[in-house]
Amino acid sequence: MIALRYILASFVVLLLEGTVVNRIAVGGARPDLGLALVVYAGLFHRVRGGVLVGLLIGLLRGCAEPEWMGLEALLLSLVGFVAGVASTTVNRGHPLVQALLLALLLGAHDLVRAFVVTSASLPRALGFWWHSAPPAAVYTAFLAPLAVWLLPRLWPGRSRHVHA
Amino acid sequence: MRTGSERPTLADWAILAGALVLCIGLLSTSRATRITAARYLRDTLFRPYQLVLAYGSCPVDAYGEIETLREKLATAVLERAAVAEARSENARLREMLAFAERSPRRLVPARIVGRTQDRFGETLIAEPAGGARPYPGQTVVGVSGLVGCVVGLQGERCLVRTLRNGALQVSARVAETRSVGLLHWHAREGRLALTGVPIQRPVPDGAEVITSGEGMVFPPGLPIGRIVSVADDSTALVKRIRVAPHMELGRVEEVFLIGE
Repeated sequence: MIALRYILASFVVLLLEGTVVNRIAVGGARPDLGLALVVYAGLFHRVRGGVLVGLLIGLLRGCAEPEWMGLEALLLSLVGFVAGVASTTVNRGHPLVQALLLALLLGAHDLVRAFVVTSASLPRALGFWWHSAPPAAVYTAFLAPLAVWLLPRLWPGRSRHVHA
Repeated sequence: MRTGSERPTLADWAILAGALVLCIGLLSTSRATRITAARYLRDTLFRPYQLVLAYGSCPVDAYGEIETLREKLATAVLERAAVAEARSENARLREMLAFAERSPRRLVPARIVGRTQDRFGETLIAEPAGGARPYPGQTVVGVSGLVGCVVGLQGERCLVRTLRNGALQVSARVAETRSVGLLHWHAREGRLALTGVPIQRPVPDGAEVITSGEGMVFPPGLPIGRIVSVADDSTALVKRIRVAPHMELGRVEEVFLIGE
């Protein structure tokens, strides 16, 4: 049931990334909803959930850029794993903790990705990363916990806690 | 504090290892293999995603893109029109400047801001530059010849009766033979008619027609047009001469008022 829910959520996230995300971009910064879903899967459904959701979304994204097929899946699986490990030591229900973890993991994910994509050229990777990652990290860190806090409140009769 | 209770188990590590092996395996293959794998996954395992994404994203994005492109197209068309207009104006103003420099008379430039049509023909509304005050009877010329004369004032602007107005009559001269006649607009033929030239006076086809200076309205020697046909009038007393004006009065946009 949980697996089905995450498959459905990944549908929705990719749909949003193809439609809404470009429209809510602020100064070129776009929230990374796929990564946010992976982090939440890791936080609330252990390492296993994080890794599998990361692999799924990574492979799906890889289909859109076949030249780097496997890279995004690798990075998102690691993100899911780190989020799963982190969930055992941090207060995973606190929005600020979630935001901080999202920002850190998104920053690290984008840095590694930029490093690989720029053929291991650190100055170019840093330049590329500096232009795109921090605004996206801030935006995602703000938007995702807000959405997670808000969405259950929009469905009457559902639990006020997203993940008990 | 709500932390996860369980540390990663062996199964978790195994799943991670499997995922990493899969990803690194994909990354270590050739570019062609990666593309084939991506295509295969897209067409099989992720087919439902593709259907949903194609259904959900394409129309929305295409609609937005069409709107953006339409906006860009409209802006580009307007910009292009503005550039074309500026070029045309630039060419006209250069022509006018050259004309003004070689003219011995004091010229006041004026922009045509309107056109009216009465039962006699065409009247232009001109706005002189630099706050110059026009006066009735003032001669109006363009870069290639006579346009008409001022017949009235509207504040800072003036009404200019053109050669295409039947109410305007100009005392004109055939430049070569010095024969004088009266020039007026012949609406039916869409030409200027030069009347009153005696039948025995020679008038060659294509001769230049200029103002005679008689009548004290227009200064002498201003080019008006060129003779396009000469025939004997039915009375057999005068010639029937048709003149094509030099100025394209339907397209004129800037003129000069000849100062006193």
